[in-house]
Amino acid sequence: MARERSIQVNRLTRVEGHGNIRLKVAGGEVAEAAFDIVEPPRFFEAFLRGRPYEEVVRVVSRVCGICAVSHRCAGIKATEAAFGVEVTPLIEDLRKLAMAGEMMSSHLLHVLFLAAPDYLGVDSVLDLAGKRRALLALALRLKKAAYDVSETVCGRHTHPITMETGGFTQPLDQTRLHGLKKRMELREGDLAAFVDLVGGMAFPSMDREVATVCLTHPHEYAAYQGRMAKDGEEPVDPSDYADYIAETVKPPSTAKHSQWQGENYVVGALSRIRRNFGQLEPEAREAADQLGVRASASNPFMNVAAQAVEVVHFWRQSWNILQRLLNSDLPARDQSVEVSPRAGRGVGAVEAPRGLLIHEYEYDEDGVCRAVNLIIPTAQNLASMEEDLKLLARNLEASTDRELARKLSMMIRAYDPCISCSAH
Amino acid sequence: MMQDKEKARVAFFDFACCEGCQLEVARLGEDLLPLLRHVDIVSWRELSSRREEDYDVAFCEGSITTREDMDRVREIRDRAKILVALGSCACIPCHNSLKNQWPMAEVLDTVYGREGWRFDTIPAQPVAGVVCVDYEIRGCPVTGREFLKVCKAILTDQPYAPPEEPVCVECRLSDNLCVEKFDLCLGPVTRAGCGAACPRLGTACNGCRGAVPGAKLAPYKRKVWFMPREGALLLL
Ligand code: SF4
Ligand code: SF4
Ligand code: SF4
Repeated sequence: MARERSIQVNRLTRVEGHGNIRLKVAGGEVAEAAFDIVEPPRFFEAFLRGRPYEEVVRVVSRVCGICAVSHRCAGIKATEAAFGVEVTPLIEDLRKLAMAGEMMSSHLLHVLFLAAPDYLGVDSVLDLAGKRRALLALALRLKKAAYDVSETVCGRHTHPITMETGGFTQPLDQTRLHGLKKRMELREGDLAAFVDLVGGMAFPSMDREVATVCLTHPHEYAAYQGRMAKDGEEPVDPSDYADYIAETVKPPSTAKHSQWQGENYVVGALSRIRRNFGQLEPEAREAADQLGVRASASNPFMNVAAQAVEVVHFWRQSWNILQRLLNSDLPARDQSVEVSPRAGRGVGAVEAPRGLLIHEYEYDEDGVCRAVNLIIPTAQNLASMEEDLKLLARNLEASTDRELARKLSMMIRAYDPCISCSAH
Repeated sequence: MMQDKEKARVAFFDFACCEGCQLEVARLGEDLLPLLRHVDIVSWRELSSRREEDYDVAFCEGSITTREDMDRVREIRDRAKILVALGSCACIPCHNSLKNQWPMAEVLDTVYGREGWRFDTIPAQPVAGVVCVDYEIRGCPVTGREFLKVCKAILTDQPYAPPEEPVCVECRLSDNLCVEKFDLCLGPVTRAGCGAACPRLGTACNGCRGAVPGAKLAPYKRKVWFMPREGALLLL
């Protein structure tokens, strides 16, 4: 075994944003294991100050090109909480539908485009355009179908157009929903093929102990709403997040690290499944069986499989919401409510594809934003990612530098870090 | 420029942004495949592990906000025959420049507190603020349609200029009613090209494609989260 070695992977590929893996082994011990976020921050928390609320929610989706709907939703919920706006169940259903679409498209992007090449032995899925065209076509079809869901609801997937504080600026009608349903029907068969494809990926094994945090809700597999909970603990109100989650600045990383009452933790698909397994759609639980995803978050590589399970879940959930909307008379007037600004503070929490996302704003009486705080999923995962780098390096101490670098990269990738988002 | 049989070597790079524009390109899906017959993507960090440094066309997404990124984009300029600014962050540079109204030290302090001094940030600039840009594709995000149009122009050695007429033209041509409920629609002063995406869906134009040449922006002072390169930063 190498007693001294150092591994550096700069600007890791096939992840969103810029991050470097840095590992040092000295005297047979892992002396340093870091995932440095070198993404230039854009300073949303500074420049949103002084902007009117309409602009705040429109601009804030620009934190992330993958999970724009989640950021928009969290922003809207925080703003509505600050102004004391209550929306109708119909508006909530539409938002859930849009979020389900994004959950699927984001997971599909990660599973099929970013992670899959590790298991298929290619640099990129685009390399499949030749011999394995069918596989590439499947990936493209599914992703398009997922985009279609959120695009139908909010006019554009990245960045939503009609989804605003108080509801939707253009009401959806039955014709558009029927169209969406027809297009989804055509893709039903692809879903099973997708699960089989993921079933064929040989995920490396790893066993860690880790705390997990996610939203949870008594009546649904939480994504749009719920209370926050650490595994094995009672749920708490997200508006008290500051009592539980503390962020620290860790230069040179431009993203902060989070801890839950002093403990590292992970958020995301594995955490959600661990807590809310019983609320998954039956088909998704079958997929979980097939893929060996259990209600434990002990292997970070399994995040990819957990996301595949969620794709099945949110596909079915979208279907159910669609069905419900089609059976209602979908009254246009209920698709938005009056919003009148007032001074106050509001917190909005959702489960973004990569995990718990919290927005907090303070507004003055004219609805002009005075302070902002954003708690991003990937930033919450960073401390655990570094711990896992350490553990994996220890497990693989006999491997060559090249192999170790490859596995460390795969592990970080499996977390599906969204780096631009984390630095915001 | 590329009349020869060989495929054009293309690379994608990103700076401070949400990467939504390159995802919009990736989202072209099947429609991207015909393009792949003419180009070879030799570097695209987000989607591929292939990383080659010899390329003809470089797409640069995002704003330049650090000294290191100034060097990075200069290096890309040196290597590339053609450099394309991809998306409004790279072209105007959009909401990223809202931070320019404060001293950088204050912005750093707001986000990082006492540790702020350990990070580098400069006022956000468009890519063209640092290097020469050959083509611009605007929009937050860009549309796949316009991206393909620009690719065609590049491959056939034609110029491409972003539309100069205002969004209103597309808006009214699509039979949309100008609805008074918009407190302030930036359509009259914003460059077209999006098909009036927002007004057609009942929401005001935010000016994401930047100002039309010669736009009179004073009446819109209260809004405007973009910084038209042609004008000064507009604030409340
Ligand atoms: S222009 Fe808009 S969509 Fe494109 S990268 Fe910038 S913020 Fe994202
Ligand atoms: S809605 Fe906006 S873009 Fe359309 S015509 Fe009116 S001002 Fe112009
Ligand atoms: S309508 Fe305005 S804000 Fe909307 S996409 Fe077009 S230019 Fe951008």
